[in-house]
Formats: sequence, C-alpha cells, structure tokens
Amino acid sequence: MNMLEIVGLAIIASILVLLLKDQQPTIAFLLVIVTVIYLLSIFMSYIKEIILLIQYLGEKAGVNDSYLTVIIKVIGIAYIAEIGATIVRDAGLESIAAKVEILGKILILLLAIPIFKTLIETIINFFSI
Amino acid sequence: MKFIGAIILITATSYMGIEYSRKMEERPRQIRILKNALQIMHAEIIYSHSSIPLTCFAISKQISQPLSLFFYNVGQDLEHPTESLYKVWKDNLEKLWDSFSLINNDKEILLQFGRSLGKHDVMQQEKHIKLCLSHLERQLEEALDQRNRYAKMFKSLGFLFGVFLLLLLL
Amino acid sequence: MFIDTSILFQIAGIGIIVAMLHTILKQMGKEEYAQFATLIGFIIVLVFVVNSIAELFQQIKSVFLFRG
Repeated sequence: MNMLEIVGLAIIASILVLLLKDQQPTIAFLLVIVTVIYLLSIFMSYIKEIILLIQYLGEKAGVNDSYLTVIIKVIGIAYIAEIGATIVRDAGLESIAAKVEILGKILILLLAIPIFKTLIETIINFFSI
Repeated sequence: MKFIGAIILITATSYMGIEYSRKMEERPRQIRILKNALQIMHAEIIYSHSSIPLTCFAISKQISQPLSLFFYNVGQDLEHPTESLYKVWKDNLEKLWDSFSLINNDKEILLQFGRSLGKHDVMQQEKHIKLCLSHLERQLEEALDQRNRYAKMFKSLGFLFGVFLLLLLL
Repeated sequence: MFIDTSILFQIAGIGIIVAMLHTILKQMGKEEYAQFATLIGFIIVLVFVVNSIAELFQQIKSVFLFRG
C-alpha cells in the first residue's frame, strides 16, 4: 500500500465523517474509530518488518534475548496506550484519555523493573570488584 | 450478480412501501364512494320507495369498482332470498373485503348499517342512513388526515429500508 | 492482511440511511420509532466496529507481545 492510497483513504474518511457529524454524531464517531483501526492495521503490518530487523540486529550483536523482548513489549504498550487515548480524546473525554496514558506509562515502568534491577546489580558488582 | 440482487431487493421493498401508501390513498376515495352510495340509497328509498334489491342495482350502476360489485352481489342475492338481509350483506362484505382498502372500523360501520337495513319503516330507515353517513364523514376526515401524514412516509420508508438491508448484506 | 476498505463506505451509508429514517419518522410525528431506528443503526455499526477492534488487537498481540 503506498502513501497516496493512505492519504486518499484518510481524506475520504474525513469527508464521510463531516457528512454524518450533524445528524448522527455517534455513528460519525464510530466511523472515526474504524478509520483509525484501518490505518493502524496497515501500520502494524509495516512495523512487523522493523521489529524483525531489530531482532536480527540484536542477534548479530549478541544482546540478551529477554531484553529485546522487553523493549518490544514496551513499544507495543506505548502504541496501544496511544491508540486508546487518542480514540477516547476524539470522543471529547479528556480526563479518561489522561488516565489511559498514565496507566500506559506505569505499565511500561513495571516492565522495565527487571532490566533496571540488573543494571543496578551490574553497577554494584562493578564497584565491589 | 451482486448488482442484480441489490436491484431486486430495493425494488421489492420500494414496491411494498408504494403498495402500502397506495392503500392509504385509496381509502378516502372509497369512503367517499360509499357516502355517495348511501346518498343514492337515501334518494331511492325515501323518494322512489323502491325495494332494496332494486336500490342496490341502482347504486351499483352509478358507482365505480370495487364497491359497485358489492352492491351488485347483494342485489342479486336478495332477488331470490334464501337468507336474511343481514346475513347476505355480511357474507358479501366478507367475500369482497380483501379487495377494499378500508380498515376494520369502516367494516364495523357498514355491518351496523346492514343490520338496520330493511327492518324499519321509511322514516326510521332515513334516520339510520343519516347516522351511517355521519359516521362515514368522521371516518373520511380521519382517513384524509392519515393519508396526508403517512402516505408519503411509507413510500420513502420502503425505499430507505431496502437500502439499509442492502448495506447490511453487502 | 488489510481490512476491506468498503467497511468505511458501508458504515457511512448506514449512518446516512439512519439519519434519513430519523428525519422522516420525526417529521411524521413518530418520535419513539425515530429513536428506535437510530438505536438499531448504532448497534449494527457498533458490531462492525467491535469486530474490527478485535482484529486489530489480535494483530497487535501477534506483532508485539506474544510472538513466542
């Protein structure tokens, strides 16, 4: 799928949403969600390639596989939180969107704890030698 | 292939809507004809003192289908009567009911009128005809009101429902 | 790999039809049926949306998290 098609799709979707907004705001909003999902699923099929590249580079550089998994999971959580927050924000519910974002950040932090621990341990080992 | 199905679906639902609204537009016309028939009957009975079969034939000659058929049948059945007038009136009404565009209220009024027909003297009969005419007048007003409000709605509703189903099935 | 684009037009079409039904029914003084039509349209569209959300989440899962 090339860029022109994606832009064309986005423009058509926005015209349809404008058409519906006055009479059926709820259905217009659902249309927005579907458009977002459609664009994201295109995006996901591309990001798959990139993640495969990261894994390949990690293997070549000899990085521990569990660290790579954590990084990829963090990226995934960031995207999901972003998707959720923007959809809720489009509906005009700012406070819920903010909570979704905060929860996303906290979950990322939670995932990073083991890496952080190993980092601290490495530093302590480094000094205790 | 999909295209043909879509056209068939939309045609079918549009036709349903048009048919329904046609029935609605037909009702005031038929009530008017019925009133006309009663006025003829009034004239025949009060001034010409003709019998009911003859009156019915006279009416059936002057009004249009499908109501004229009803009066013709009643007249024919009454020429060599085997059953009571009310029974004949009712049976014929039931038989032809599906070809009329009237609703059950109208049927009730007609049945009530049939019950009174031929049981009283001329003066009483005149009163019954007047009563039935005033009932029909009320029904006519209601039918006209309904037609103005809903006839167009059913037409567009049929078409829109077809498009809606089409979008769901696509 | 991609969702079919026609779903966008389908939803927009349902929205337009429901809006027209709503307008006509309201004009004819059948408020309650108008509300009902809107609700039905909304539910049908919602089913579409929920299906595609599920599909997207499955995709995200396979890309990011549980890739084994």
